[in-house]
Amino acid sequence: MKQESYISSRQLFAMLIVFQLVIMMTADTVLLGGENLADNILSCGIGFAVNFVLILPLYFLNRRGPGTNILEKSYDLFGSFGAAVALFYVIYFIFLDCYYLSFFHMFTVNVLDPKIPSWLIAVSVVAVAVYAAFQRLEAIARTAVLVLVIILVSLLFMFATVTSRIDLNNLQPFLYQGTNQMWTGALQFLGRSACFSIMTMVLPQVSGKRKLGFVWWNFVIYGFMSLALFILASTLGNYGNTQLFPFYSLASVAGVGPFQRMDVIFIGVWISGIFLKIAMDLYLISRCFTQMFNQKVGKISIVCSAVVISAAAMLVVSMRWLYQLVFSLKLILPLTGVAAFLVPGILLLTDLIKHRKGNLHGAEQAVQKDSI
Amino acid sequence: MAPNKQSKKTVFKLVGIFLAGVLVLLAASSRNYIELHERLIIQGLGIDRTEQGYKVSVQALKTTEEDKIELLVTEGDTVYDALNNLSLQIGKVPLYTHNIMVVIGRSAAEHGLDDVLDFFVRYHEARPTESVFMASDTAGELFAHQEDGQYTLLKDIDESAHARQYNSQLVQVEVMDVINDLYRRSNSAHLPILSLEDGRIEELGTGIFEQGKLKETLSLEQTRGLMATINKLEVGTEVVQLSDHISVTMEYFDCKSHIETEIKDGKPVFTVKVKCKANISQMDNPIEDEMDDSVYPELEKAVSAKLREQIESAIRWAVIDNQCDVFGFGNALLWQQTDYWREHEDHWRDDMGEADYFVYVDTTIALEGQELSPKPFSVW
Repeated sequence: MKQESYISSRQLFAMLIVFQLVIMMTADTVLLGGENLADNILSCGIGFAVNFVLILPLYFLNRRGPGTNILEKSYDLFGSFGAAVALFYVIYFIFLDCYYLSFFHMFTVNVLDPKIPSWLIAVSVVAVAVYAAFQRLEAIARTAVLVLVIILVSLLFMFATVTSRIDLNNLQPFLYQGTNQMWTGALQFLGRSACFSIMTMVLPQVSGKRKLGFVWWNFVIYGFMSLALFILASTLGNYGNTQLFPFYSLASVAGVGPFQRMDVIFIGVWISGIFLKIAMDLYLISRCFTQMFNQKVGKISIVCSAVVISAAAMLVVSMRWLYQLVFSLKLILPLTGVAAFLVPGILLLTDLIKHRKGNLHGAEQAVQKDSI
Repeated sequence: MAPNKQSKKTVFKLVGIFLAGVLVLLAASSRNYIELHERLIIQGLGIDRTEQGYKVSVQALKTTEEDKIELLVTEGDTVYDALNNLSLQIGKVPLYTHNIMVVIGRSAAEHGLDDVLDFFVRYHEARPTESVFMASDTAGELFAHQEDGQYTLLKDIDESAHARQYNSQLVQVEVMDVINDLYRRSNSAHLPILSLEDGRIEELGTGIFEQGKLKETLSLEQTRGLMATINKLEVGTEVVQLSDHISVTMEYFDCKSHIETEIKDGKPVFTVKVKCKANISQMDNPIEDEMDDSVYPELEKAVSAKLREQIESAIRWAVIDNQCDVFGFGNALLWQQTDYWREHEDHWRDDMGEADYFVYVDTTIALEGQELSPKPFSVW
């Protein structure tokens, strides 16, 4: 069996920043719970704080077994029933990719109106992701670092070019219409925090300062999102409330001198991010199948999952009730809660109880020995 | 590596290359692409209201001839319907990404901006930065105007944009601004008015809207007052008279304004504070008459008074007489008197005429040119 490679903490969190930024950029005023985007800057603060709580089960679980990932841990603790955990993560990753790809597909259909079939664009992205998934973790992580640099430079350039259009009159006071939007926005951000599930799988393969990396990741994604929301709200104003993809609209008004229509940058950023995210998830799905069956099944599962993801994304976008369900918080929030917090939490508790029992059993045996 | 494993890998790679090739072929074989000569590259759109719906005048680039603009006119129940009829009429596919302006005829403006502008918000090729104007009569008339066999609207608009850099009596509005004004309860929309005067397209003033429908117009002087209040007065010239009947041409620049609010006896009081710098561009006095520095305070006072008059006139006409808050007074209340605004935002349109408005303008003379009169300093 091919030995799993190691990546550095920087590579991991660079990769996670890309994944998080890409999905955050699809936010609109419906998903963020209202028209006062300034309230969602407060949501970022909540998301930032809650992430430190969400990571705790995973942190302690990892401390108790630094060399084992969540799949191995579940098999250790539950035997063959541990397959249920692997199966859950397979379903979760497929759902997530379907979620990411559906947004992208919806964007191409409604905003780009390409002259080639839009499904072909989505399938092409997935096909490239399949190739990347076969190249495994290290290749994906290395690519993510490059992509992150490109994304950050592009977005900062884009933001810089719209600063002349910032008008503070476009903003509304914080919490003018109550706290609902702030909480909805925070739940939306947390529901989209799919990065915890990636950490559950790959942390044992990560070397370096992981705690510091996590803090940086959390700071960068919410800091960047707060900045992006401020610029969006103060530049587009209520016009942004009318748009399906307001960040794209922001990109389309950005420009300086000969550099006009930055929407092309936005599309490039999105495609590179989504391709990496799907590649990573396909790789993790193959890890789940490898754990459940063997490496051969794991490899086949990459192609099969890619087909399922592509087909599901097309299906979602074609049926209104389905995309209303998928894009709402009804599915993604509980699923992310289970994947990021509940499963690691249950495994941690079970591990603690089993060890405690083991220790008690050992102590009882020692007492019996003494009495004999 | 075992030969069997090696050959499997090769087969796998070949299948991958084959599938990638299929994808490329599928993409390339799409018959939906449109050649450039099949495109109608739209540069400007004029929209007039008719009895049945809308008449749309389109200035488009001829893709077959360089630098040639053609005019097309079409009708339909809605703006989109009219534009769609255009495709049927000429057999070309319109491309809106290069459109730089929308001119809304008076009839369409009176009927309401919401019906007209939805297309520019919804359609994927429309850009939020397209400039929006209103025609004093019909948009079609402006679009049809020719000089030496050439349509002049785009050229005149372009010249106006340049002129704006030298004289801020011309307000600049984009699709995004209009949508923001229509969306907010605190604001009323405003559009620059274009008119055909003496064979030339010129800007006449500003159209002010109440709930998206044209209510009244501001003159060019009132427009300057509006621009000074909303922080858009960049440059502009003004002629003032000194006490001894000397005309002085002043040039404003670096104007900053803000609106202060307070609630007195249950009603809002607004104070508009404007600070400007001005240069002396010309003084119509005999060249041998040297003036001393006592003229500076008089000049500053005269310029400030003139600008204050323009602002007061604009506020009186737009807000008090016509209930159109194009200045953002409601927005100032939202930020500075949030509780009051929360209670009164639903009937702001009725209340704005009852509020008190005060205007203070403070102008400082910055430069007097290279002439040593009036004297900028003294030896002792």
